Amino acid sequence: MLEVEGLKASYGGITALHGISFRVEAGEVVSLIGANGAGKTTTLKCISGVVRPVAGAIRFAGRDITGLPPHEIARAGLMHVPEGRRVFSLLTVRENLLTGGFLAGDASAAKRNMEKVLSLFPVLGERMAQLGGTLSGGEQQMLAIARALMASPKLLLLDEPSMGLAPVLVERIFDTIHEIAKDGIPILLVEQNAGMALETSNRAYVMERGRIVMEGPAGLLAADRRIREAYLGGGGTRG
Amino acid sequence: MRLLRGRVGDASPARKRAALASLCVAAVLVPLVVRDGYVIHLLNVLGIYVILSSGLNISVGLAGLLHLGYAGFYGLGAYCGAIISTRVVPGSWLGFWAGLPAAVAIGMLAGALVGAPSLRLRGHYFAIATLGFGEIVRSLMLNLTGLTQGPFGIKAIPSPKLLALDLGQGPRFYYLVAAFASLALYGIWNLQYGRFGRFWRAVREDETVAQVMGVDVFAAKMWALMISSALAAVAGWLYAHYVSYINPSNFTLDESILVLCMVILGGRGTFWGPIIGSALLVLFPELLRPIAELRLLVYGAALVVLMAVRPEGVVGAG
Ligand SMILES: Nc1ncnc2c1ncn2[C@@H]1O[C@H](COP(=O)(O)OP(=O)(O)OP(=O)(O)O)[C@@H](O)[C@H]1O
Ligand SMILES: [Mg+2]
Repeated sequence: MLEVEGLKASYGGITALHGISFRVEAGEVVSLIGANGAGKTTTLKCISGVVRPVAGAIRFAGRDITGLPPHEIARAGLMHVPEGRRVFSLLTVRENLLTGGFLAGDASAAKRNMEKVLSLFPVLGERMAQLGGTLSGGEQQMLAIARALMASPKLLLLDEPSMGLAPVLVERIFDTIHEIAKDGIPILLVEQNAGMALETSNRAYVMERGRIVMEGPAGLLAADRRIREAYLGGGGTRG
Repeated sequence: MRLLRGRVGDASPARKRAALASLCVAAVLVPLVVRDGYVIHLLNVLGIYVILSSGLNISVGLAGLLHLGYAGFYGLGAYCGAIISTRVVPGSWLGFWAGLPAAVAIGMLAGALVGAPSLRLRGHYFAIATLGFGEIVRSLMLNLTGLTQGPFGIKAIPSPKLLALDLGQGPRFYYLVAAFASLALYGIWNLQYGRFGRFWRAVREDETVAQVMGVDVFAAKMWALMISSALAAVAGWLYAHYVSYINPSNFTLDESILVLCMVILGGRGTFWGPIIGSALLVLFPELLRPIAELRLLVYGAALVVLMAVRPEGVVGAG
């Protein structure tokens, strides 16, 4: 589905990614975990075209998408939900959803998607005429995910969907990720909450300072002593 | 948060349509009730400014582009119309109408020329490019004397005609401007509340997210600029045939700023904002006429107070 090979990226001479390779297969949830500044967000931005890679190749659904402009990558079915719940604050909830809906294909597909995301996030249905910026943090995150789902994505990139949310909402977001995956949409998930991420994923990659240092089935990684120490609170800094 | 408080855009479609319909009826009735030629003249000027400010609002309010050279496009349309009616097709009623497609074409072309290099870059390039464009147009008007008569301007521009009917007389010009303003507003309404409007506002709110949602940001901005530019040129074409004499001093930076103020005072990004802003800036100074010298002082103070009380404009942000 998605294959990344030797991906390098830098910001004005400072290298953020030193040639990483990984893939996401159809039907999989794959997570990318790592400390602050490891390069997770940069990786997602390269895939969605927001940051231009210096070297490497990105193939999506059999097509080379390296260096394509972001809107073309989105139109190919690869939807990026950036970190920090970036909803359009002066657009209503409905308008936010419709910006994703136009990629759904046709009006009836957009309508079907609208029904689907509203059953996934009923709270949005009650707030259709409200401005995006007036939603609570959790609702904004749901809106950001729902907006991407409106486009009938073939692959979803989620950057820290649980960041800054209360524990009960974190649960709620991960449940949703489960449901989306059950629907057959593969997901590349970036998370600081490594415990929850590993629970939700099939496989995972661990990043450190722009490199992938470990990879494997999520269950095995979750059991690994080094991972537990560094990322799961077993003597580490975060859990 | 004031920024997020109720806006006209939230009103129900039925109420919006009712408001629009009553405005149209009022517009048709005005000349039947108002006999004062000066008031009709003010309304004609207002109509031209409604086209200008609503057009500029597409770039500034919807797409979030800081446009500082709108008078350049306005002037291009005016000169284009004036040159065609006085020299290309002189002495025929067709001269006036031939100017319309020419003004639209030249407006869009100039918009594309300004946008192509400046809209790909983020930051203030666009503001600077449009500011420069406004100055270039003015210096062309001054220096291409063979075509424009330089600082003397173009005189004796024939009034608009349809066959033998003189549309420049009395309330006829009012109806002509009202027709074009309505047409422009109708088009803008559909753009604004349709998919284009959503894309423009998405781009204005968060360019990166708009991109990853599949919006071609460059194309969206380009369309906004080209449509704004075409409307400015149409307003210029009407203006030239209304006043019958134009010169470069009609199309200075001051004029660009005036139209920008209409958009901002009324409420950028809203449908009604530019209309209300135009009414404020065209009619309010007239109401102050009796106080003669104090006029500018009161006018300036009123604007400052308005912006302090409602920084998002009369209608609010949309
Ligand atoms: N726009 C930018 N300009 C310069 N450097 C940047 C930029 N964005 C990221 N970086 C740098 O690139 C490196 C990787 O950043 P990135 O945002 O990808 O990390 P991350 O793994 O997502 O971190 P976090 O968990 O904090 O979100 C960091 O050292 C960061 O300082
Ligand atoms: Mg990050």
